[in-house]
Amino acid sequence: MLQIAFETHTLSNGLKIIVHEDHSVPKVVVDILYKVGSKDENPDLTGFAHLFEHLMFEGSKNIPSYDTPLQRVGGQNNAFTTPDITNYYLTVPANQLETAFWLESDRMLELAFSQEKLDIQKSVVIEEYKQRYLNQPYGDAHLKLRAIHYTEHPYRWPTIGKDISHIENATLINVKDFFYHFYAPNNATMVVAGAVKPEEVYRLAEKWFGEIPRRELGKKTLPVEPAQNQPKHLQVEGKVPFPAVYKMFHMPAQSDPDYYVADILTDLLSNGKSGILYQRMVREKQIASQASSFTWGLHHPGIISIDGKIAEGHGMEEYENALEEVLEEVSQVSEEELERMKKKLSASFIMQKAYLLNKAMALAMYDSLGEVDLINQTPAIYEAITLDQVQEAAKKYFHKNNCSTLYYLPENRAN
Amino acid sequence: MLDRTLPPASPPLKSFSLPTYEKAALSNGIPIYHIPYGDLPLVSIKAIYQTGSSYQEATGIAGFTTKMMMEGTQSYSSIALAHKLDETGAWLYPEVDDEFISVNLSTVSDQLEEALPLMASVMLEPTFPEVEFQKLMAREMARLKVESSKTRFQARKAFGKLLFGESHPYASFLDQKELVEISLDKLKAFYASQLGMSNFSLLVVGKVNMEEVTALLENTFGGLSDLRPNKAMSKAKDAVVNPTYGRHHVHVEGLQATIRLGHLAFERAHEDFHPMQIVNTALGGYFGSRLMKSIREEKGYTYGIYSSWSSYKYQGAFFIQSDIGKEYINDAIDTIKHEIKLLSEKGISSEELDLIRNYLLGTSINRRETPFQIADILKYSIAYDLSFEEMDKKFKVLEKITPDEIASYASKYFQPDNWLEVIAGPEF
Repeated sequence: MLQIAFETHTLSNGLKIIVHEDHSVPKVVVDILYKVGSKDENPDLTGFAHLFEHLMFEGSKNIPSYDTPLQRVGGQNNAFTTPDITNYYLTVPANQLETAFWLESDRMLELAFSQEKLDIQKSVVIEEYKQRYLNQPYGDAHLKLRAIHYTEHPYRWPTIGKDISHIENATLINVKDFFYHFYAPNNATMVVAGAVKPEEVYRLAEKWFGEIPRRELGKKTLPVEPAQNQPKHLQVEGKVPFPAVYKMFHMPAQSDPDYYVADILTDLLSNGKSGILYQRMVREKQIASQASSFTWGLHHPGIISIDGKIAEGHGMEEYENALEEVLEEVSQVSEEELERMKKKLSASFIMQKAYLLNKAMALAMYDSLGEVDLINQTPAIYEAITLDQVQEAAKKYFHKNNCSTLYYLPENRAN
Repeated sequence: MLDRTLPPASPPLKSFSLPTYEKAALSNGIPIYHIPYGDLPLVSIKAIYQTGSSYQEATGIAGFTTKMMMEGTQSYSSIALAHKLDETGAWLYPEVDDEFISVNLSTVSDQLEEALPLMASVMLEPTFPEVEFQKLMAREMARLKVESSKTRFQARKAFGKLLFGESHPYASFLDQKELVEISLDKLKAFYASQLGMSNFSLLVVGKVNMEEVTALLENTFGGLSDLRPNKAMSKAKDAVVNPTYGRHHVHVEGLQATIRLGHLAFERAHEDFHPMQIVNTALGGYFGSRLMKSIREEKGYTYGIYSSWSSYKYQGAFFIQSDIGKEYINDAIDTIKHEIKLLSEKGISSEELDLIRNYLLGTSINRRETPFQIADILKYSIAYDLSFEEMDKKFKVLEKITPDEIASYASKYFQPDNWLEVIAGPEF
């Protein structure tokens, strides 16, 4: 039960299928991951993978609307784009699987390209850009910091796009070009999870996806981000109530064994109330009113970020000094603290499995890293992390030469 | 040759019914509701108190009382509690509704024995340490200074106050002015009068050995003797409702405004509650709704728009909310009104109703997948004194409702010509 059983099958056009049987509720999740993300974009046309994700819901060659027929059979769906992949997922009652395949296969075959729909979705995405990043206090902090944290690698621009003008400039020719370069059965993995039988899944998949032609992919070799060898700084002003400090550190790619060690560092820092960062900065010294740390696990070397808002009556230097002490403390973390975090992670692995969608997405995500069975190996990988590894990783990754810092200051208070 | 223009055959859909629960009691009379659910070794335990934010003397009291219950008890300091919880991997969190407060524990089943004493300590022996209170207030003040610069925050705040009237419990909204009025004494007093007795119900949903869990619960809570019922009443019960309709602009600088439009609705026990949930689904309750289609998919004015027919215990609110580019606000509001009138005057086709019916049947599976979701449904039914039959009634209503009825409900209850329009954002 705690192991996730799955089997795989690849169609002759290259579409990989992963089936996970789970009959606990009468539903099925179909998750299709296309191996294209914002890192595959042209630097002058960023935000395109995400804009394209929107267009995938605007009708395909033979079916004018994607959402309506899916809702008509009790389905729900959504999608997201990351720097590495674009993931489309849906849930339908188990006896409606074929409708899901009909819809998904038609939009893998060919989209209904239209200037009018492109213009509307450009406008929707621009409103999304404003809603998420521009119309929120501190909303663009990570966007600005990433732009200096990476110098060569396409992770330097955000998935939503470097600038609204890039979205405005997208043309229908760009759309078609992108589709035929990246949306192909041989560039996708389909996970089918739920109350289904693998043989039936394969039969229906052959019927609906089998005739989609394999396509020549437009993958480029991406530049390798050179090692950072000195601290970077950026200062911006905006309509915000307090100064805030954002930091990013380079960390290993998800396929690197050291990735898991780096990941547990951010758990030790701020996974819940007991996190060292939160305890020292917010609870004890009260230098920050809020502080948190995230791992941005990516296919290529990613980011550990540490964000903090300065509490009233305190300053940047005080924050910097206190944070330095916190990072020093993490590099001397005790066996007891590490064991406690492992217990917490081990329980959360089980809780996440309660949702079929989580399992399906994880299967697709691990497949995109090249090893589906990581879904079952991950708990043991975390369990095996040693104190020495954690301490060494903290020293290595939390080095000031590996760090980019953004000071976000209230307007008129900049110094 | 496959004809891709035609959908494959679709077998009929069935609703996914709620499971049944069993009710028992501890030796002192504390009721236990139990549902075995799920294949994974997970369990949700909740203690539900008949009180809530409608029982408080001032804004924020109920919420901060429960926050402080997590900040130190006779057995554990705040940090010791956090460490203990990490060791079990359990989630322990209070929840405050208008009409109930619950303390919730979600855990892997084999950790229940370790985690349950933590839950009990938070419920039964909080110490309300002054130093933790001061820190909590400082953090909250900083959080509110950030939140209050957001258009959504300002739209929600103004909408509630104008819809129900400043002093109505359902208009209660925590901002900086309310925060500074909160004192530790007020929280202690609320705990003593509302949560200090043991008049709670327990629920257990998940995969556990119920005999063992009952013994654990008996051991933990069965010795409590102060089971006096809560004599206080919800202040929402007899509160006067005093709406101020019309347009109201809250100035917030930025590129978009949050618009929140609507009017009073009715209480949860109203006979038309379920039909109006279906009508609202058509208008703005799902991704394929009429408002999403016209404001997002046809005009591109927003990333998202939704409507809600929210029925609380004693009153209700109907509202539509969206973040809209400032240049589109006037046309968006006109279009929203037009869509409501269209629904009221022309109704919907039987095809659209079929779609909504199936969509809602599909969501019934997604919302009942895990013990945590089932526990939330059970909690609500206990707190609001609604049977499980009532919780499932939407699907019965769905089977029978007709397109004509949808139109007549819409025209009976939607009043876009006399309603409240809150626009929180820049000049437009």
